[in-house]
Formats: sequence, C-alpha cells, structure tokens
Amino acid sequence: MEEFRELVLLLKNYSADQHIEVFDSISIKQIPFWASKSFENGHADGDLQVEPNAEMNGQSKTTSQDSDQSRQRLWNTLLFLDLTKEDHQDPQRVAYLCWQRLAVLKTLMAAGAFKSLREIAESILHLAKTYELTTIVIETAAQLRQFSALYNGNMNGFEKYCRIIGQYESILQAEQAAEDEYCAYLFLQNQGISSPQFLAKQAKEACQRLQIHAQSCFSSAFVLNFYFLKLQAAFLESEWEEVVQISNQATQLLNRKSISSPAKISAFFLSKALGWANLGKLDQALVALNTAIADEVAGSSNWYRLQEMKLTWLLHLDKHAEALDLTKNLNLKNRYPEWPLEQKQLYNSILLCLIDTGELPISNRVKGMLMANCLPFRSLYLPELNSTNLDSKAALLLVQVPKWVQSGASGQVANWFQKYLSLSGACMPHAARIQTLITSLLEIEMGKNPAMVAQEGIRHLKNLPLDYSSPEAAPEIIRVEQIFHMLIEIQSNAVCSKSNP
Amino acid sequence: MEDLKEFAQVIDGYKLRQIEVLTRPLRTEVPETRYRIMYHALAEGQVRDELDGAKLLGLDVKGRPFRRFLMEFRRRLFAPLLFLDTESSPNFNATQKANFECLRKLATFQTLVYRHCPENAQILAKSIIEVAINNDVTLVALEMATFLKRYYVERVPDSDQYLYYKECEERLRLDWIAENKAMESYQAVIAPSVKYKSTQLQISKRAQALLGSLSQYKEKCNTIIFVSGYYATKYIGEMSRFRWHDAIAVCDEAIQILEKKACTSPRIMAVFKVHKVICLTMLDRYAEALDLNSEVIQTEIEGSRNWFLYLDNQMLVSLKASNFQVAHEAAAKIYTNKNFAAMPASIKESWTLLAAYLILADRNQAINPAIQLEKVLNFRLNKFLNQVPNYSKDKKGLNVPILIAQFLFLLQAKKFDEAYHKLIALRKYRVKHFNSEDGYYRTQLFIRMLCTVASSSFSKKVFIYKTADMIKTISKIPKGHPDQHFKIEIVPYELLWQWVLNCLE
Repeated sequence: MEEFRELVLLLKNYSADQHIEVFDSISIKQIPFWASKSFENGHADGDLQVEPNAEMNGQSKTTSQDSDQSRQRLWNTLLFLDLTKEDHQDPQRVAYLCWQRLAVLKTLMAAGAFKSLREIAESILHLAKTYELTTIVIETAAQLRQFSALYNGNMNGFEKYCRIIGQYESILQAEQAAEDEYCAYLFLQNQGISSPQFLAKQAKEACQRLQIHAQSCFSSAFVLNFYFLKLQAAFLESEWEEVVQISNQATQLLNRKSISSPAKISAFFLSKALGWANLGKLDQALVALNTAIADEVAGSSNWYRLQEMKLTWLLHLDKHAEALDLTKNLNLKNRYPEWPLEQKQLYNSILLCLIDTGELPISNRVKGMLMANCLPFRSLYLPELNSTNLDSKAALLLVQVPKWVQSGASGQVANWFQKYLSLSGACMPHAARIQTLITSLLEIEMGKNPAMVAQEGIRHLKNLPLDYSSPEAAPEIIRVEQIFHMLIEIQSNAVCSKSNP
Repeated sequence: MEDLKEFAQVIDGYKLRQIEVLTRPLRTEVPETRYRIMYHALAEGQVRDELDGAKLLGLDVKGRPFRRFLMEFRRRLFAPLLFLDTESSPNFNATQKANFECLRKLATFQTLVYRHCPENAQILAKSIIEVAINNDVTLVALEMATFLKRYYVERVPDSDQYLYYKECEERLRLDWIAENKAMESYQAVIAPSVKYKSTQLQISKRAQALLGSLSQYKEKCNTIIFVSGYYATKYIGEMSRFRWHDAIAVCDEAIQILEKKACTSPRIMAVFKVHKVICLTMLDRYAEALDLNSEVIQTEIEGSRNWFLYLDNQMLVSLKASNFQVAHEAAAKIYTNKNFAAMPASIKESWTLLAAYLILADRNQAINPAIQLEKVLNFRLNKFLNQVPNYSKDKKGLNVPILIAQFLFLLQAKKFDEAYHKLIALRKYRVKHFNSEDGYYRTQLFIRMLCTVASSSFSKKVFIYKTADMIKTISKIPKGHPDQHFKIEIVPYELLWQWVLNCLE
C-alpha cells in the first residue's frame, strides 16, 4: 500500500480538491445549452444558443467569462469520465488514456513521488507500444530511463530503455516525414492554383521520398499518410484500378493490426468504393461502401455522409425499394446528431418524386413519413439561384425535369441549369453531363420529339460517364440517363394513351 | 457554440452521474463508495498495509476482488493528481507551476483530440502553446504546434497560420530531440556512479564522447533541459578527472546561461550549485561550500529526493570540514523526516556510512553530550559491521571508507582480532586495486599507515613512531589533489589518525 499512500499524501499535501472543478449531472444544467430539454433526452439541441440569451439580460461580458469558466470546467470533467470502462476498448480511448497517464507520470516525477512511478510507467509503455503511440513510447521510456539511471543506478534498465527509445525514434522520424508530406500536399491543394496534374506529380514525388521509410515502417500513423498520398496521385490521374489496388493494400496493412482505428480504415474502404464506382462496378462499390459505413461510428456526420452516398448509388442502380428502406431507417434514427435536415429533406423529396412519377409503389403510411420530411417542392417552381445549397436544389430540380417537360416549360429549366453551371463551379465531368441535359431540353423547347432527344442524350452520355470521385459536388442523385429514360417512358405512355383513348 | 456541441457527443447524463472525485470530503449522510472510503482512510493513516486495506473493505487480501479494487483505485487517483495545488504552495516556483499546468492541459488536450472535439482542442492548444514555449515545456508545445499546423491545413485552411505553426513545430522537434539526447548523455555518465564510485576513468572517457555528439545541438537548442543535460555531462566529465577548477567553471557557465532565461527554475540551478559545492570542498574551500549548499537546500521541497541529496551533501562537506555540529544537524533532518523510509536503499546506505563517521566523531570529540546520536541516527553497529550490500562491492570506491570506519569501530571496541581482519582486507585492496598510476595517493598512504597498527602490535607509541613521516607527507598533499573521488575520504585522514591514536594505549 506504500505507493498508494504516497499518491494519496501527495493529493492531501497539495489539496487538489479545491481545484477540481467538474460538472456533475445536476451542475451541468447551469449551462443553458445543457439545460435544454432535448439534451436531457439524450442529444443536444443545436437551436438553443448560449450567448444571445445572456445578451438579452445585459450580461454579455459576464457570459464571456462564464463561458470560459464553463469550458474550462467541461475540459476538467473530461478527465473524470468513463472511469468504470475497461482500458482496452478502442484505440482512441487507449490513446487519450495513455496521454492522461503520461501527464500523471511526469507530474509525479516533477513532484518527486517515485514509489508508484515505475508500475504506472511500465503499464503506459506496454499500452503505447501495443497501440503504436510512438511519442508516448519515447516519452515514457525516457522517464523510465531516468528512473533507472538516477534512482537506483540500474545500468541494465538504463540500456534497455535507451534501446527502446532508439528503435522508436526511427519510427517517429518516418511518421513525422509522412505527416509533413501530407500537410505540404494539403497546403498546395488549398492554394487552389495548382492543376490536378501538378498536384498528382507532387503527391507522387512525396511518395518517392517516403519510400525509404515505407520499407521499414508499418505503423498506422505512417501507413495512413503514405497511402493517402498514393491515393491522391491515383485519384487525380483517374487511375481507378490503381485506386482500388492501393486501397486494398492499405486496408490489408491496417486490418492486420488489431489496434487500428476502424474510422481510419473506413477512409480506405471509401476510396476503394469510389474506385469501383468509377470503374462502373457499382455493385462491388456498394460492398466496399457498406464496409466503410460499418467502420464508422453510427450517427456521426461521416456516417450520414456515407449513408447518403449509399442511397445515391442504390438509386443509380435502380434499387428503389432498398433506397426507400434505407431512407426510412435514417429518418427514424433518433439519436444525436440527427440526419442533417437539409440532406434529409432532399432525399425524402427525391424519393417522393419517384413515387409521383410511378417509379416506386408504396403505402400511404410510408408516403406520409416521406412527406413529413420533404421539401415544399411538389408545385413546379424554379429555386432561387442566389443562395447556397445549389447542388441540392439542382438535384431536386433534376428529378422534376420530366414534369417540367410535360408542362411545356423545358426552356425555363434549361436556363436555370445554365445559370446553375456558371454559379456552382461544378467540376468538368459533371458540368458536361448537365450541359447535355440543357442541350436536350432546349431542343425539346424548339419542338423536337422529347423521346428522340432523350435517346440522343443517352447516346451522348455514354461518352461522359458519371464521375464518382467527388460525390458531394454531383447533383445527380438521379442520373441524367434515368431522367432521359423517364422522358422516353412518359412519351411512350402518351402515345399509347392517344392510340387507346 | 460549435465547441459546446462537440461536448454534447462526449458527455451525457449517465457519464456525469458516474463522476467521482475521491478527494472531496466524506459526507456522513450519504453512503460513500469504497474508493472514497479507502482514499480517506489512507489519507488519515488508518491503512498501513494491504491487510488493513482489505480489512477495511471486508475483502480477502489475496482474493481477486481486492486486487481488482486496487487496480481501479489507482486508476481513480490519476485524474485528481493532475490538479495538484501548486499555486498556494511555497514549494513550487513559477516555472514549475507552469509545467504542472501544461501537463494538465496536455492530458485534456489529447482527450479532446481523441474524443473528436477538434474545436475545443484548437482553443486549448492556442491558449497553452505560448505558456509551454515560454517555460520550455517542449513536449507540450510540440504537441500543440503539430495539432495547430494540421488544423490550419486540413480543417480550417489558413496559409499564414499553417506556416507559422509549421516553423514552430520544426524548431520544437529539434529541441525535443536535443533534450532527449542531452538527458540520455547525463544519465549515461551519472548512472554508473549511483552505486559505485570507482568508475571514474570510464566516466570521463564516456562524457567526452557524449559531449562530442551533443555539440551539434549546442548552438541550436537553448532549453532548460538541454542546457542542464549538456552542462551536467560536462561537469561530470571534469569531476571524474578530478579537475575541480574546470568543473567549477562549467557549473558557473551553466548557471550564467540559465540565469539569463526568464523561465529558469532555482531548482535546476541548484543541481549545478550543488556540484560546485563538491568542487569547492575538494579545494578545501569549506566555508564557501557550506554557504552555497545551505542556499541550495532552501530551493528544494522538504522531503523530496533532492532535498535529501542536498542534505547528504551538507553532511559530507561538514564532515570533511570537521564541522561535526553542522553535520549532526543535517543528519538529524535526514533521519527524522517522514519521507526517509521511502528513499532508495543505495542512498540510505550512503547515509549509513556518513552516520558511521559522525558517530565516530561523536565518540572521539563529543559533539553534543546531551543527545544519544546512535539512537537519533538509528545506527546499529553490528549491522554496519556486517551488512553494507551495495558499497562493499565498490572495491575501489566506497568500500574503502567503509572498511576504515569498521576498523575504527572495532579498534575502539578493542576487538583487535576483528580489526586485524579489516586491516588485511584494506591491505589487499591497496595491493590489488591501487597502484601508483591510479592516483588515490592520500588514501593509499593512509591505508599503509593503518596497516602499521598491526605491525606496531596495537601500541600507540610504536604506531606514532612508524607513521610520523607518513602523516607529515599526507598533510602536505591537498585533499582534492588531484586524484580521488570526493566521497572516499569522508573525514580528513589527519583527523582519523588522531582517532586511531585515541584508541591505542
């Protein structure tokens, strides 16, 4: 019990109690944010604002101080959370626990409390080595080295920790090199003046510089940055087979480690999915995407983003029933954070559109649920072009194109899309496909047969495959080809109804 | 608002209900958890060992539930340990307080990073990075700079900020490596002499080689830790070659550099001062040495390891200066401190040796007749005569003063046979471990003098006659000149000669 007594006396002598300001389940309600009813129900309400409320009471200055104090207290609270959980749960938890304990270790060293130091340090070192937390390994080994050297003159221990430090220093060097190359690449990309070819060249050169480390360093931190750069080069040069291959290599390397963070592996499964999608193999892409989704934390923003991608791809594959099921599930997901409202309304509206056009037969109850979550889109109107969310508006308008053609106003829609292209900065492959739609709509406006125009459009689009590499920027939740098919079908239905009055 | 939203994903009512701050006072009206009960029992001294602990909880001391409890109890102590009250304590200076704050913030920061609260992590990193840089808390500054660099290129692209933190990060990386190398060098030369004092030549060679490899960082890195590590390696190199003046110059240079830094800690400077004390002692400048050492003791937390080491130094210098009253005061402080028991065995053994000489001094010169020194110093003669586990292996080092002290005790007790055995051991040492090229001239000569006790048949008269020339020679050789470890000759041999005479008839 000696080591426990040392720790307890340290706490007693430097009475920590007065300085531990944390929130408990009652005191946290002092913050209006947490006082909101929705938080009590298990999630925070983003609509409730802290500062404006206080300003109304003429306490803006106090609020700023209060806010700082509250934040400080929340930070402190974090250190006291989840103490009942097991240590070895997930890599993220292990990482922050190791950092917390390293801080404790250095505090004990600085305060001259040595009795429990070795045991704590050895357990941190073991965890940090297992979970590839290189900096922590070096720092902890350095503390143990100091302890061995100065506390009991243990030369064997001293030399042992020197060896560990030496070994991990070279790993850290590789990780830092990869991190530097990654950041330098992002910096170039952010400048917005470099061409994709130039960026691809930079990414390749960075990979070549890192190659020397790649032969000996397989830590997650290195693999993530190194393979990210490799992927960037392949993406920018549209080498989709290479994208799939690189993603496979990265996932294999990371999957081998039981300690890899699933969210990090998920990024490579997503690349693989995008690679397959661009190779036109949407079924295989969906398999990879499902794996990526499974690795994400359910309910996180990334999880929703991937689910939306899955929805889009299901719609591209004409798997409308599956898309509807997924939408229903996402609508019902009642945990924080909810499906972002704008995206939720967009997908519900698109599915409702498909129902309206007879593409998707469903019950009234499901229809009611979709209607409760959709945008007010059902009467024909052209959305404003001067606001944000242009891609969402374009996506929704795109599904409505057959209706606009039926109402004889294809020219108006064509004009809208023309302006959209000039405003949105849609990247080239997407723009060319929308341009095909615009041309077809203008031809219909000039009196050409919609079915014939649509067939011509489909032929033209065969040379312009949909680019899946930047899915967020694409307005084609329903592909333009599908719109053309709808036009052909409407036309043939019209002909049939004329011939069979 | 964005940063509060991040918390909402991490903190929920259930988790908050689980929070338990062990250090809060116990409440009588509420059933307390066993962790809090154990904490307060330990704080009040009600639990001395595991048996007491298990009994308190009604558990079997060898059972798994108790083992598991101890593991979880330790885990619960970690978070409060990050909140030590350094502000109102006189034991911590501004740099140390900043250091503790930085460590707490580092723990919080990494928790925020790995719990996916990047906005909070950014706020915290920006609030602490300057403190960390200004106080040379390199690891913390480096972690913050690395995060901020990535934040401004990945999350909120901002070229200026990115380039600023990139430059910071590069500088801090170099500092971090340099600090690590400097500390490794210092530890490499200090570690061999923790247990043994007879490795001086190897240490001096090693120090020279290490300083060569550290020189590449010297112009680039100026952090407290690097400066300390570098100059500590340097003075150890000089001291191991018995170049006391050069070692003083190194210490002075280090102190000068550290004094120029705004964040210098007196405790760091104390390390150099205390070595200067040793060098001054070896140059017979006892008054200066004792003054400086007293100054150094004031900088340390009472009961800390360094505080003990500085008192150990005080004791040694006083014994060398034959100022036994001061030595006695230092010894009393060491032995009566509540943390004494927690000190490592090797350090305690060094104190036992010093205590032995202090008791010999008391027996010969009666330091303070009112005090029973052996009781105060918990000195057991039989144990000292038979068990000195570490230093008895330090053949050319501390085993010499041990054997000399043991001989004097035995001589005093008129146990001539046993005393004779010690003399044989000393003579063997002199022949086997010391030669004329080795130095240790004063020690070699004194051992020869002691050996004449036996050949004088333990007769005072004959002993004086046989050693008269030798004692004159010894008196002509300065104590620190040029060639022996400062811990070998604890009490001047001239005085020990007198004590031998006191024992003979």
